[in-house]
Amino acid sequence: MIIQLAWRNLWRNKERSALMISAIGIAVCAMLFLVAMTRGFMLSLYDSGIEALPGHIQIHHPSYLDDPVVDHRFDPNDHTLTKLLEAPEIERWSARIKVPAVISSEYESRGITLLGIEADKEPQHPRHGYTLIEGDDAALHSNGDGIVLGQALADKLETRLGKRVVLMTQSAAGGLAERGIRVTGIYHSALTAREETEVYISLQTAQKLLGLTSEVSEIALFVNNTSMLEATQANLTADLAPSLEALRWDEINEYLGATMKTMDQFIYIIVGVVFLTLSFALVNTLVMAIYERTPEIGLLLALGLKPRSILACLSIESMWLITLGMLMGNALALANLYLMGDGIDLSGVAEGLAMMGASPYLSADLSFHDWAITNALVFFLGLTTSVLPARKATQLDPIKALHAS
Amino acid sequence: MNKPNELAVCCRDLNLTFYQGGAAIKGLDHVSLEIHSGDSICLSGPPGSGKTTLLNVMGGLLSPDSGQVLIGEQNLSDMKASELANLRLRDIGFVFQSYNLVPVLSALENVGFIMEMQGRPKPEIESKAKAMLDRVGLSGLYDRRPAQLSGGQQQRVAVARAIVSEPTLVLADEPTANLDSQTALQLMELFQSLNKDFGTTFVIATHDTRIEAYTNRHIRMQDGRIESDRRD
Ligand SMILES: Nc1ncnc2c1ncn2[C@@H]1O[C@H](COP(=O)(O)OP(=O)(O)O)[C@@H](O)[C@H]1O
Ligand SMILES: [Mg+2]
Repeated sequence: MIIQLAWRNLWRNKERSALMISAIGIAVCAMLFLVAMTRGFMLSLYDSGIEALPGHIQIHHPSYLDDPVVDHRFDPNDHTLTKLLEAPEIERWSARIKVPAVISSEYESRGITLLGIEADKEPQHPRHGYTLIEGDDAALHSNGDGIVLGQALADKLETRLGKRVVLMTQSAAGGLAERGIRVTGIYHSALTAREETEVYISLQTAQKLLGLTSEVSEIALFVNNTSMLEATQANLTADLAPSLEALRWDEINEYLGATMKTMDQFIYIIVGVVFLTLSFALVNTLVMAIYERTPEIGLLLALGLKPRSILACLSIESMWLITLGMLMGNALALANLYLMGDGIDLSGVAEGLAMMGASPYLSADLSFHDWAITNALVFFLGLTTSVLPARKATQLDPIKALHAS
Repeated sequence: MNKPNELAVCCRDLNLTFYQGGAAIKGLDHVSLEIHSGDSICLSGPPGSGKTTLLNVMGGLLSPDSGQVLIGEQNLSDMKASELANLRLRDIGFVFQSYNLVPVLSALENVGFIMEMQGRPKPEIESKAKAMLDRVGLSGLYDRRPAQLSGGQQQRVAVARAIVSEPTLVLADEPTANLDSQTALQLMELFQSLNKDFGTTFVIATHDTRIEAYTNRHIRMQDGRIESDRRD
């Protein structure tokens, strides 16, 4: 009966309820949309900043990050390290060579970053980071031979698929290492800078070129549970040889780490601000409704209804209001995000975004986690906010309320 | 419902003073009263004589400065707010002057409402509410909302609601004040016949002396005191 009463009361002032439902709907839609866009932007930062060659934690020679040359190498087959990498919290790991080098064609030479990777151990390339547009990346798997370079670099070198280029770099022995190699793949990246500077070969090819047997520049590892990242890092560090250091992604790229942290908080500030505005409207609507119904509330109290029944009735009414608004908001937001599909083309401001490390395609990303938190927040805070005026109604004096009109 | 002539309500030496703008107004001045089951009382007196105040005190909506009200065995002055609410819900029916019905509920739902809150089974509620609406002459208007009923019909719904759950006592405060005289007298005929048929105990406060013709006991108030109390 109370539920029925609440439902009918909701439609007493149709315009006002419809307006309020729309307001909640639009606010929830805006929240979800902004959250999704911000999250999408963060992911794109993350993709291009970290997932270029990713890893939640990377292990290096302590001097490697300051001076990433072949001298700052280490051997992953070292007994303790192999043991450590078998820890259950580590999902997978891969070893890489990453050194400065020079690439030359018949026409041009350029300084680049040479990456020797084991493609079968690396994660799938990220969405914005890397798309193979010509040839294949068979060369990057074990025993593959060939080089994969970016379209922009290929253009600069005036080379193309199937042609040979020459790689030159400092060898482990300190001399010059040099070899010719065939272009077997060309990739495209949303970031031109990457296309021009990052060149991929297989790990073995790189080791052969540098005169190494099993040593590498870095080990990147992924953990099962990112919320345990610091603990995993601490465990690693405790047992790691002093000649090695294990750093988290946000330590390696401090700017990105700090940005991500700030944006994480920013997301909930957005939600908070939109909700605050909404709650004023919600409280106002309820205060109006209660004011209009004072005699009726007085009547119900006089007839012997418990104040908590009145509170329940009013709370259920605002619960309907909030629920309908949230349904509408979610439908709107999901429809919007669906229509947006792969993303909004922000080529117009692409250079600015690229400078910050984001791709010119801004895609929205609504995670279940963000979705659930936003909705739960609106629902429970909304309900709490509306209980305040409803409580006032239950404290009315029945006789005075009955005659207030 | 109590047996006929059993003591339904007992008021002992009720006093209640209101203070308004520094002046003390005697709302109730040494009021003592015994109401028996089946009494149909016309509580009359000029405006401001304390009729509403007495009804509110008997209904547990207002507590007196001193004195006691007993409804059946229950002493109202010993009761907490929630117990008083329960008493009103179970033992007392109310008919107010103008605002009586919940606007979003149909006539049938308004009549069934109190029984719902008492937690009675649905089929019982429905059949009793329908029978009572038929009895007050509103068969066929079950689904009308209050706004779709005339003033007289609305008061009939209120009367039906007040008596349908068989309370010890029905308190009606100026139930005819908003009705034209013809409709008012029809409503009084209804009170009279319900009292005769069901033995419902009514206290009807009014300043309309014509109403005395429809009740079997007449109590007159003046300045918060009971001036006269006589039976037919
Ligand atoms: N809440 C109140 N505050 C101050 N005075 C009141 C209040 N309620 C009633 N009174 C006064 O008490 C007296 C009796 O009022 P009431 O019982 O309403 O009379 P009646 O119903 O017979 O017209 C009146 O003088 C009225 O002004
Ligand atoms: Mg009065």
